[in-house]
Amino acid sequence: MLKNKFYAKFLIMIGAALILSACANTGDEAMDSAPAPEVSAPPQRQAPTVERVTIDPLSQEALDMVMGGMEGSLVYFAFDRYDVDSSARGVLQAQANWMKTNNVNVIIEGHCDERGTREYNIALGDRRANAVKNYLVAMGVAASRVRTVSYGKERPVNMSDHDKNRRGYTRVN
Amino acid sequence: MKLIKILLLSIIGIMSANLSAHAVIEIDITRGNVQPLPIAIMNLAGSADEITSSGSVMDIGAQISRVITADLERSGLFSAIDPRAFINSANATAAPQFANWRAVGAQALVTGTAVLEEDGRVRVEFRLWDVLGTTQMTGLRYFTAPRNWRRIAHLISDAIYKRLTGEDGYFDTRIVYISESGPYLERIKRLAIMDQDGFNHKFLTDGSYMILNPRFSPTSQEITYLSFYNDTPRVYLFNIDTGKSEMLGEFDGMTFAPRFSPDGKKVIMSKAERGNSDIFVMELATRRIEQLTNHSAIDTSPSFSPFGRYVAFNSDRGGTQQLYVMDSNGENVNRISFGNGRYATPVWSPRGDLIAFTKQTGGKFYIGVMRPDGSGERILTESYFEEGPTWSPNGRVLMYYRKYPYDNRGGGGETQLWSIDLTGYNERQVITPLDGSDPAWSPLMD
Amino acid sequence: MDIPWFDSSDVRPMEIIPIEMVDISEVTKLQEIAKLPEPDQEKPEPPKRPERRAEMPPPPPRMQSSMPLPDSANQPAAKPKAPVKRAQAPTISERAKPKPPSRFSADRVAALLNKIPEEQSATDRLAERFAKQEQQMTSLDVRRQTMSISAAIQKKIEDQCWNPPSGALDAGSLKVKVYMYLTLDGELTRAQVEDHTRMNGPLKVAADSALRAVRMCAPYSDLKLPKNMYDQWREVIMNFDPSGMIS
Repeated sequence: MLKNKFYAKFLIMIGAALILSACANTGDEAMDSAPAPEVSAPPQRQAPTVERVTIDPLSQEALDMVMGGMEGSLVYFAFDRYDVDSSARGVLQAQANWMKTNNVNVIIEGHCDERGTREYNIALGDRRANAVKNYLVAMGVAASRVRTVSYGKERPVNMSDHDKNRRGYTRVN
Repeated sequence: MKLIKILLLSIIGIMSANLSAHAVIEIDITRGNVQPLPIAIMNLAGSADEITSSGSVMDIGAQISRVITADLERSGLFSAIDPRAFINSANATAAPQFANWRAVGAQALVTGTAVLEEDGRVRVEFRLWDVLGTTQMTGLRYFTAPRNWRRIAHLISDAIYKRLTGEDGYFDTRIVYISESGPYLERIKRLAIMDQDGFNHKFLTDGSYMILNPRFSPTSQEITYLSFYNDTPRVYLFNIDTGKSEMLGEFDGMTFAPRFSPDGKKVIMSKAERGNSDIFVMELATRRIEQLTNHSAIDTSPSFSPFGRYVAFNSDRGGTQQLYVMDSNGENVNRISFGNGRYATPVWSPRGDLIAFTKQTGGKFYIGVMRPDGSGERILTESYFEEGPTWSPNGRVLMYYRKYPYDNRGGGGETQLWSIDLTGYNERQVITPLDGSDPAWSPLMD
Repeated sequence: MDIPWFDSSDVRPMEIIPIEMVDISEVTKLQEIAKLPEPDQEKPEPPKRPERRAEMPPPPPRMQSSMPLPDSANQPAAKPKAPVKRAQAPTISERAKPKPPSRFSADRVAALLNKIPEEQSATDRLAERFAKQEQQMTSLDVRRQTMSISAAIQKKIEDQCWNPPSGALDAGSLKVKVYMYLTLDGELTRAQVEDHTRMNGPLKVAADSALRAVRMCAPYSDLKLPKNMYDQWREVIMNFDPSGMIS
């Protein structure tokens, strides 16, 4: 029973991802180089045991896989910048497309690297999160579906590579 | 004891005598050696014992003297003479044998008693003596419950400090800060409070949500801070007496970087709307909010001047983070920082004459001070990362926090509280049970 | 570091500690009776001592005598009675024609002070010179001697005894005038600051530090101040000025 449910959802997810990558394929190189997820590639982070894989097409895992196994929920920013650059635009366009076909609300987290002061980085993270949100909205996502939150520099994901910490993260709510 | 020797130029050398009939030699003394004042602190005599929580009996008088000694030494302005060198050990209320104290190098002497009264209170008296001038400089008596002996010790330290430096002390104060724990990428950040010397430490939140940038009210037992409760960063007000907290206002956008006005009646903060942060001030009684800046740049870290007339703040409206000062109604915005690098976290000294800041340049971070017009910039300390200065209530000491880099071996990332004298000397770590950041100094308690 | 175990019962409101405070200066007053004679009983003596006039050499023109100048050492005046044996301490030997005080250069003085060899105590040299001093002196000698006395006292206090008020950041207004009274043997009989008891705050602290310096340096017998000139140094006025100490 549980197995059947999982397989059903997984197939739906794969289908959705294929459709997404197809319709989002507007010549962006990041998209071109991102193959559709293969059946043998559930989220790589954990051991793919049946018990824990309950992938829902509306889930974070689904979003993470939008880019074909890449971190489809993440965009990066230059030092002290908050503008959405070209590589980020490709990711966000895919996110927007995914949101248009999947009825989910998301929270955009804005993050900074640790080479700055706390209060300013809270403001900068808010700027970044809103830059992401604005782009999604411009791509046709309803603003009411997108909330933003800034964590400033308080939630680094990498201890030594500051570039990895200046990020916008789209979290399925 | 570290001797700080400062030699300065004589402005005027030597004046010869006037050889008229009124001949008196007159000499100008313009140089000296700034060094800690040698002070002898006797154990307060008496029979006031206190049974501690662990069941042992403690001599309150001796404990008080130990706390006073630690307070004064930590200030860097005093060096306590080792009690083993004392010639006199009898601690009577009578005038001391000044020659014996001079012989051990003491220039000031503290004597006193701690005696249990019949009503169960403890009576603590101290006297501060001028050893060379052979006079009493000050003397005070306190009554309190025995378990409050530690506060009495700090009050005595403040009285001694004030009499010998001419400035108010800062020992009867507390520090609220962010206690940090956990691995580098999963730090738990919760609110904690302790006495200025690290004792009476308490956690005020449980760490299930993040707290940042706490600030003490200058007039009440209240703290304001940024809380991530419910994943929604907003400014909160916390009452230390009741343990209750409340969100300050309900806004769509994030509120952060709060700080009290000098009269404690307002909280100034940043409010973000659609990615833009401006500065607002809220009247606590009415919760009415007034917008002070309206600029597409980030405006944050506001800090009132001591009489509330001006506000210093941080803005990147000029391209990079710099310090600005404006009138408290938002008019007359002037940039005041013009050195190399980025400037942040301006905090007005309680004396009003200086603004402390964090500076970032050349891959390093610095704590410094400048005058409110931006002149006289002086860097006090530097490291890989440090920020967020807070002033002692007498405007003499700055506390801030440091963070150490990842060491490529799985370690690093520790945060620590540090303090430094305004002169740039006497930098020392403030010991906390776990890691610490974002210190905020309380006013002197009543 | 591990995540600390957290007990919510640990989150307790802080309490205000009731404390009652009493000033005990009155007790002090009682005790002060037993103390050494209080300097405050006596007012600083006015520097007017007409009876000394007879003992004094004829005063030179005021301007000349009151303007110590550091350079142009080629003063034609005779200096036979004060044999200068070694490299002079400049504060003693170098005098010059009077100049208005406005031309007195701080840099020049600083340079002079720097010239004093650290390894050799100026005090020693001065003492030696005083010992060789003969009784009879010209007015020039008197002036020179007076400067030597000033230099010796100044050096001792600045090098060994004055711990300026470091707390005061606005030291510009913290100048303190100390009156010091010495016995013929160089013992300190009295040191006082006018209005000391009425002072408060940073100024009182500045006065305290000046008084401590004068008392710390006592006795002044090691300076071997010339006894034949006791009238010149039985009373010394010292102007303590920390303004140059604050950057």
